Amino acid sequence: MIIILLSILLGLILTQMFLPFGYVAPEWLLLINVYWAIALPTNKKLILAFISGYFVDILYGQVLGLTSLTYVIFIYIILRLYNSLRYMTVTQQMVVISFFILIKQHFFVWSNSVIGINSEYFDLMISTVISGILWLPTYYILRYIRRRFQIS
Amino acid sequence: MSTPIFKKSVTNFYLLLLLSILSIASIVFDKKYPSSNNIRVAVNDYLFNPIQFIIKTPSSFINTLVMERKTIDDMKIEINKLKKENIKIKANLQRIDVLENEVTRLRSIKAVAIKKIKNIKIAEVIQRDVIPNKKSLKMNIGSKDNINMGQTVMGINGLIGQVVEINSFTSKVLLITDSSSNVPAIVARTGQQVIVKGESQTNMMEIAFLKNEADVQKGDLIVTSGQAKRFIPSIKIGRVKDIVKNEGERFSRVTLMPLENINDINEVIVTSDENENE
Repeated sequence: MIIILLSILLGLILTQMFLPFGYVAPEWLLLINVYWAIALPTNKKLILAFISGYFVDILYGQVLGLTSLTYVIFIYIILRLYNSLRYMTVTQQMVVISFFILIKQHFFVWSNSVIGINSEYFDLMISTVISGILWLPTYYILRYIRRRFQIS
Repeated sequence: MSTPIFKKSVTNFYLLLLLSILSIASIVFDKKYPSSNNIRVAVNDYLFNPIQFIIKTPSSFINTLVMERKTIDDMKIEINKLKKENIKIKANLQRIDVLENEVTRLRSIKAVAIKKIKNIKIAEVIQRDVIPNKKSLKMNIGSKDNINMGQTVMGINGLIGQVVEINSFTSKVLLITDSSSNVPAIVARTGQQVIVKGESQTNMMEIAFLKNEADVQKGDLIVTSGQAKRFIPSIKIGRVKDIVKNEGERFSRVTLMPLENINDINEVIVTSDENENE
């Protein structure tokens, strides 16, 4: 559990480092959450997703709760599908997850527009592609960590 | 193992429902009540500022190493330079005092002469572009130094921006070059009131909705007017760089060059014309 929280902290550090890029920055915290949801599918992952989404909101200065809503729904879908995701190769997982992130970004844009905030659509699309590619290193690094510390 | 599968998915779903409702409640709460800012302030202070410190440590360590190498001679040269500059500025200041009197007399402003800037705090810039897709910076003073929302932030040459978010030890500044920033201003030569709007792409500013027949020339100084009580009056913003008059349209396009070097500044001055205890 401590290792998971530490990886979330690492995600926060990465998010803050990439803050000057705006919405083009990849969604580190989401990727880390997705990995843990696939590796250890328990209900706690939803709470973890909620908290990390809240942190992202505070870091980006958005309306509180917006990203946490999208993250929670995202992780719920991952928790329902983790069995089929585990049967895929990493590249296939990458495609599926980038597709999910694409849907998530549209949900984000939509919920922003409901509140009355304009969001940078093109930047979010670039972010989707970058996040999708970054799934590969995230997967391998976190799998190494999980096996090293024997988390199960 | 013994728990049936469908039961597990049901608790899952209830948790999803609960957290979604919590998120939506949080959104509504944040939109309606400004007191939710306390959460931001707390998390920023206890979580993100330490992280910020961790990220900054390597670069700041190198910086201090470089600084150590500065010899005393360098310092002496700098002191001499500053002394000369100080004399120059003082000499100029005397003339400005005279000019100020003249201007007040000429414009016959009734009671309110221009207030002196009373409350001055000097802050360091920690980080740039802290708000996504907005020209912004973070400085190292916060609510413990009695900073208020919307206070004017300036450099030694001119206006920089306004305070938009306050935490205990840091605060964020929206720069005037951001496209969402509008500054009420006047053309110093004619006294015409204009609105200065930022342009994020070019790091310049423009005068919004200036009519074609308006009297603005290249090189005109634009200063804040103090209307709307947001920025304190009579602070330099920039000079007119370029005027394009479109005959077909109603408004001409006027580009302003900021006087302060906004992108490279390291120390900023946070001011207001109210007293400290107010």
